[in-house]
Amino acid sequence: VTFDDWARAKLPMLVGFAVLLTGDRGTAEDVVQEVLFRLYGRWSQVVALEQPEAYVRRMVINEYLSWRRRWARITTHPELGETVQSDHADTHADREAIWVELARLPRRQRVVLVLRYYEGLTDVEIAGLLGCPHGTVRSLASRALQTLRVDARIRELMGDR
Amino acid sequence: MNTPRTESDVQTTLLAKADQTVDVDAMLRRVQRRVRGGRRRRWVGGAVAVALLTVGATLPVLLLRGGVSETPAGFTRWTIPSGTAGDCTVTALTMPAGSTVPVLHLDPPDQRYGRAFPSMDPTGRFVAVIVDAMGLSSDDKSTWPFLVRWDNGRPERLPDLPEGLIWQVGGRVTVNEHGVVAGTAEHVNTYGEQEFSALVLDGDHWVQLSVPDGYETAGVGGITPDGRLLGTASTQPEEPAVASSTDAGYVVMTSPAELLSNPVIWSADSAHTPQVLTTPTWARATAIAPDGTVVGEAKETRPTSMVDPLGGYVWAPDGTGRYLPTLPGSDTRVQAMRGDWVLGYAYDSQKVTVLRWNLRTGEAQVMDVVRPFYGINARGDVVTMVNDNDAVLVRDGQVHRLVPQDPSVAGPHVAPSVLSDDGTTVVGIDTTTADKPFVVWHC
Repeated sequence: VTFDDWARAKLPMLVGFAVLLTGDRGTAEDVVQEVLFRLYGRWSQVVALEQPEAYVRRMVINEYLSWRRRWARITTHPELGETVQSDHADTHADREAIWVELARLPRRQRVVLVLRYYEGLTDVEIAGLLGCPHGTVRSLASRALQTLRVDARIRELMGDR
Repeated sequence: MNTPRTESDVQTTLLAKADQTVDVDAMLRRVQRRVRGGRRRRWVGGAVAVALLTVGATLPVLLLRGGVSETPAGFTRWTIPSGTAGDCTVTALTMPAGSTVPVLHLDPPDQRYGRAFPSMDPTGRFVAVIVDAMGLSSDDKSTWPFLVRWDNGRPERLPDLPEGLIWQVGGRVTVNEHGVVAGTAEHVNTYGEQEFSALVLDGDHWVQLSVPDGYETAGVGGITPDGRLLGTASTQPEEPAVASSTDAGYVVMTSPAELLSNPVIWSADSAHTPQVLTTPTWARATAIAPDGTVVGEAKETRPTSMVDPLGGYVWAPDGTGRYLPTLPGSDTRVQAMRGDWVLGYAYDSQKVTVLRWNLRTGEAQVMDVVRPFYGINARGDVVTMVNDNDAVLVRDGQVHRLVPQDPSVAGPHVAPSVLSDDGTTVVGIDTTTADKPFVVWHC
């Protein structure tokens, strides 16, 4: 597989993943672009890996965490508008509200939620990926969900992670 | 009445937002342009111009293709000698009690190992490193990076930074023969912009070094035995001259455009009075010698100008200076100085050439090694990689292997960074044993 072919196939997925992390399309593209640039120089080695996609996703996470640390303080998060209320009767509005509140989460909490609910990883897998104890992942997720006002009793129905 | 949110609501939101339409061709063109040119400029808010000059990911590959084909005029060639001697023995540096052990990665093929770059004083007694325990950070201060100093192997977690400051991402600290530690921290100014602060440890607290008049921010990169501190002052947030810890074989640096940037030396007394080296027009500092000699990089024009290349530069103690010889048409980086020796490299869009200069004799050498490195001492010994996996000390014409803690673990796991002036002690990273990433080799 050539770098070009692989990148063409995976770019939408990578940008989507980066959007979830960064909360911003422009920053997401910058993050992915930076990753692809670094990936290009070592493509022959990456493509030989068993799971190149997983490896590149990890590069995106690393880049996001580095990037966010560098730029977060001069990046403006979207503000919760007057018309966007946490009214579950209006699914779209609440989705937007959740999105705005996700963008305000500390970076590690946000990464944990994306890996848990979008990537479908278990907390143990997330801990391995981030290099931290299992309990830390649970703690981060718990705090993030509290911030998002996700009902704890309903959360339990998702099963023990 | 509102219905409670569930985890499914979060999941639905993420799934919906991940569905992005991407202009694949446009993005790939931008990547290709960067690959070809190796440069880009990013504008933030239309106000802060930051040029990201990336030597970049292609560096190790280019070097591994055969290194330097011919010795440039005015240079001699240095190659790794064939003679071998005894292996260096490795000893893990224990972390302070109760401290989180960082999980560092030196993964193939990316070679990004955690966010740690151990420093050591020239005698080999003190080692200091910023530990970014999680490799990431959040608003939870308990997870923020902290600084550890070892005195003859005895660890000490140094005091936390003053409120509002956080150690620089991937930053490198400096430590002298008396254990005085200095480093660079990040903070946010009243305009919400990221700035850097130079700090030095004074007993049990950190002292923030003053930024010279006319400048806005400063980072620290070197210290003399008597406590003078070297850094770079600038008018916009800028990475200090020291390279990032993620630079196992490449360097990413930011160069604000149209901005002031000059080396600064803070006095050793408690006033820490700054003295700015105002010429050349744009410069930054890498290292300072005990006699006050400073090395770094400089340009006669503004930093993003293509008129003149970025050159290696040496300032004598009296403030006069000169450019170090380099390859025609190349930019030059200076990475380290010990004694008479200065280490760096020249690069253009096609290749990177590792260089070494002797300030006393004037000799300039091209070094036949696989990638730039930092480990050099006053005797001219070097630590370097002989391939992606194996590190060596070259001392007195003999090669000593830097054996990892667990030699049975395959892959790139060692990254030596600094060696002592007597050539017997090397500090670095060894990830073959997960809970003991910081090591010292005795040779």
